[in-house]
Amino acid sequence: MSSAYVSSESAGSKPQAHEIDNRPRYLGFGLGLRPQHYADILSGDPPIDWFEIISENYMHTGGQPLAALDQIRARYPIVMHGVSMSIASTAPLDLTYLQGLKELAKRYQPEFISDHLCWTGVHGINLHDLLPVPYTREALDHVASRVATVQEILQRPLAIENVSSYVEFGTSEMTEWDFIAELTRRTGCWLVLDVNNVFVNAFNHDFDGKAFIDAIPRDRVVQFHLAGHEHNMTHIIDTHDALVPPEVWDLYRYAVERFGPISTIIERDDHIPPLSEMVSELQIARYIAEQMLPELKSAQRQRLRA
Amino acid sequence: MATLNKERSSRNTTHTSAPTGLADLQDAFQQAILAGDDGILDYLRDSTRTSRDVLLGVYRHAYTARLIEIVAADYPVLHRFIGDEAFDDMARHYIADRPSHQPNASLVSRALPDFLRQTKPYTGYPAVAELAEIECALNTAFAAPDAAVLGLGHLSRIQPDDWPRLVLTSHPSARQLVCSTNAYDIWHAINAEEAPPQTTTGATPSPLLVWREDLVPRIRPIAAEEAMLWNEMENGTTFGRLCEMAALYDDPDNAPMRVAAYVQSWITGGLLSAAEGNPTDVAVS
Repeated sequence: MSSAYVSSESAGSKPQAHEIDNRPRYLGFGLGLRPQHYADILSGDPPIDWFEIISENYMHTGGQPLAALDQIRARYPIVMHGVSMSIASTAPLDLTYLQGLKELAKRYQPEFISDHLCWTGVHGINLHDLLPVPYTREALDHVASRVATVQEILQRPLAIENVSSYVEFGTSEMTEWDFIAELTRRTGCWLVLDVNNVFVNAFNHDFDGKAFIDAIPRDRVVQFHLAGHEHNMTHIIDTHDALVPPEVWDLYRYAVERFGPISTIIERDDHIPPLSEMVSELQIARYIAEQMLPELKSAQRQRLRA
Repeated sequence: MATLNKERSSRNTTHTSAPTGLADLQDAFQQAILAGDDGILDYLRDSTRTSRDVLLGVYRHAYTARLIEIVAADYPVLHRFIGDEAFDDMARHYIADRPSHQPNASLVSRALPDFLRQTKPYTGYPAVAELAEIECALNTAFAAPDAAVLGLGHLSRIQPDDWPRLVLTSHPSARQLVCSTNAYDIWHAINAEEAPPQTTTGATPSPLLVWREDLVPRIRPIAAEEAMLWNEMENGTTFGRLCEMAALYDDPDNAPMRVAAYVQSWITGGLLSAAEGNPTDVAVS
């Protein structure tokens, strides 16, 4: 939390985008933390720089999940990545949820907190999916207002991630990338750029993924996500159940060239392989980044530990 | 929603003449997933490769598939007991009947035992609901909130005169279940990769204790006396009154010894969080 943000809030006014600075530090190459890997992480010394946790899995809970996270946090930086903030929903913000998120952040001191540009339900229901947003001025006003409110509640900037989508709304008035760029300009939120989601949407909605990347403000991206997907010929589904495919590596290379050194993780949610295989796949990301940014090479090998 | 519910003129054209509000779109989208309504299709575009019906179907399919996967992961013994087809039918029925209202996907299946107890045709199969109750209790114990675990050393510091007024507090992971069927025997057999026994309904209730010990969920059947005392302990009954109840229930001569043995087993298992004196209770044995 930046001092500018505190003084702005104490003065009773909302922080302006330029006031929310304090960019999260570069973390290197990490993984989405999955319970299947707890034992190998804690018993070994895998070359992983940091972990991203699914916030909801550790909220209002105890036992083994928190015991494992306590130990992992003692050795690695973490980022809290949520799936249920429902920032684009027209349902009221879930203040109990936000309070739980805040308490978890107090306990684990994450580098930053992220969630998705999506909604998960209305009328009190959670569909547990990252549902698409129409790119309208109304939706932009709504989401920007909610991001600002959440940032005030959490007392820190949020990082918002682009999601994969399978449908397009006829009512959309702008592109996805213009929507995201304007959202970060208005709210000062950071961005998690999911390179696989850009690739998926570029295919599903017939646009050039590089144009998407070119339109995202260079100074707002704090994290890259990489993942695999399922290609159904007429559309691609973001399944997180496979290796990062060559086409996504290509787009990642392009993103590294534009954004420079950005904290990066690989996500896997199904068909989860042994940790050693994930580490090897992560090494590909590291290799590509070092290839594009030679200055990373020497610093890269030194693991960041909180 | 009037604009969304009207009959569509054509699915090959996109309705853009009357921009629809975000709330209406989200309501219609949710209804498309939960209830199969097609009104939202008017506000979606075909892609260059396929139709909007197919693309909306990705969300519809993903919703059910994801939640069935969660339910199956939480109830592996029940799944094996009733088989793939019946489990899939049951999970679909459950998901349709009990949509999630909370942010944690891993808690989606917690209402399954209640659903099975209250919904036909499952009401006719109490062992199925009780098997679900056992698995749900173990899952709940696994991730229950942390709390202090009472050690035997704490009891050694309690003065003899203070024991009658002692009130015990259970650990948040610990709870008692009471089965009317042989669900525990079925669970135990399937968990041990053995053939489960035929379902039977017992003449007397079968109480079980479920808790977490060293981060691992545990379960054990308990006798009627221990079940009664656990229940009373959870209600705040003092140690002295527990001894009185034990003396009235069975052999009065060794009642305090029996209660002390139960308490000791609860402590060594990690089922208690606190033991404090209750000055307001005057019952002493």
